[in-house]
Amino acid sequence: MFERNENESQLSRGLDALAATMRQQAPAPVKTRLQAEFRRHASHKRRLRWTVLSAVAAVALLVVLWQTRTPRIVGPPIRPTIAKAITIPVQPPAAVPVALTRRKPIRQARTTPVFIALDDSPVEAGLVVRVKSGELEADVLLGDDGRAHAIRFLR
Amino acid sequence: MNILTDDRLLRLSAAGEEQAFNALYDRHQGSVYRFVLHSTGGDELLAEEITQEVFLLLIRRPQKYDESRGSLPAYLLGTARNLLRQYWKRRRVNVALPDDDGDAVESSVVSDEDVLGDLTSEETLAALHQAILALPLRYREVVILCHFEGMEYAEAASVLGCPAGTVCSRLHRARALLFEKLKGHGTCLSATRTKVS
Repeated sequence: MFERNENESQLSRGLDALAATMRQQAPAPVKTRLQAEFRRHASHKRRLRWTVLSAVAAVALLVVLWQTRTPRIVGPPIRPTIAKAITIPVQPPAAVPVALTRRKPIRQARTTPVFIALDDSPVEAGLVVRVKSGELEADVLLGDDGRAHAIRFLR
Repeated sequence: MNILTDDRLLRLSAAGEEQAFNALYDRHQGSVYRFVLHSTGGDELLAEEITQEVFLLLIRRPQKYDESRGSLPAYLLGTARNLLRQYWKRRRVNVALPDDDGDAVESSVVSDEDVLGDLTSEETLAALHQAILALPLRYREVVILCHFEGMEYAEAASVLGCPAGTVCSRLHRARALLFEKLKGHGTCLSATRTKVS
């Protein structure tokens, strides 16, 4: 038994010594080839990721555009432009415009356009500015303080 | 980079971090290469090819590694073993896998020296190496994994796809076969010879 244990021990020592000499490594060209493949693969994955992201973004943009689109808007939004500015003697606006109490104020405004008060402050002098945005056209009464005090819808 | 765990390095590598892949390769290429080299009896070209294939798989399909099923070294060596078997199958190489009675043990490497008397000298280490290479593959594998790569039975078992008890019994048998190959060299072997026969 002692001899058997001794032999086992010697064999273990021999295997350990042999293992210590086993330091073979894969040849360097293997690593070079693998690095080249890694770069190629990583580049391919990046391209694929960008393609997918672009496609998703394009679809999302289309959905947003489709949801926000209205029949009247066929192009980019039109910025309001000042058609003309005229100075007219200002009459105080009606305290309570009839148009506000009527059931069809828009039709009423079209036929007999009146200024609608936007606040209760008295206006002694001011500037009427005509603004146009798309199909909407209106006169805005600007006071000396630069604030809009009344508006009249023309179209 | 070298202080990171294998799992962390693999995640970074899968995310395209080349340094992480380099660290993984430097850490494990040696064991993969040596495992194939010894399994093939010293075929350097095949060992190089299989090592490259193993790490190519790691580049292309890192998700195949499941850390819950074992360590990364075990996965890499298991992959190398599978690739090697596929290669042999394709080439129809007849790999002798003798039964556990050890019929394939040859006596060509037996010398007249008392091998076990001094198993650390250069010549006797070479003889021992030859004896290991002459072992049947199933025994050679466990010697490579457990003695050369320092794996525990459980880890070697995950490489070989068998229970840890099988690894233990194969290793025991492998050592007995090594005794058998080196027999007749000194009186100290007489007791062992009766055990392994």
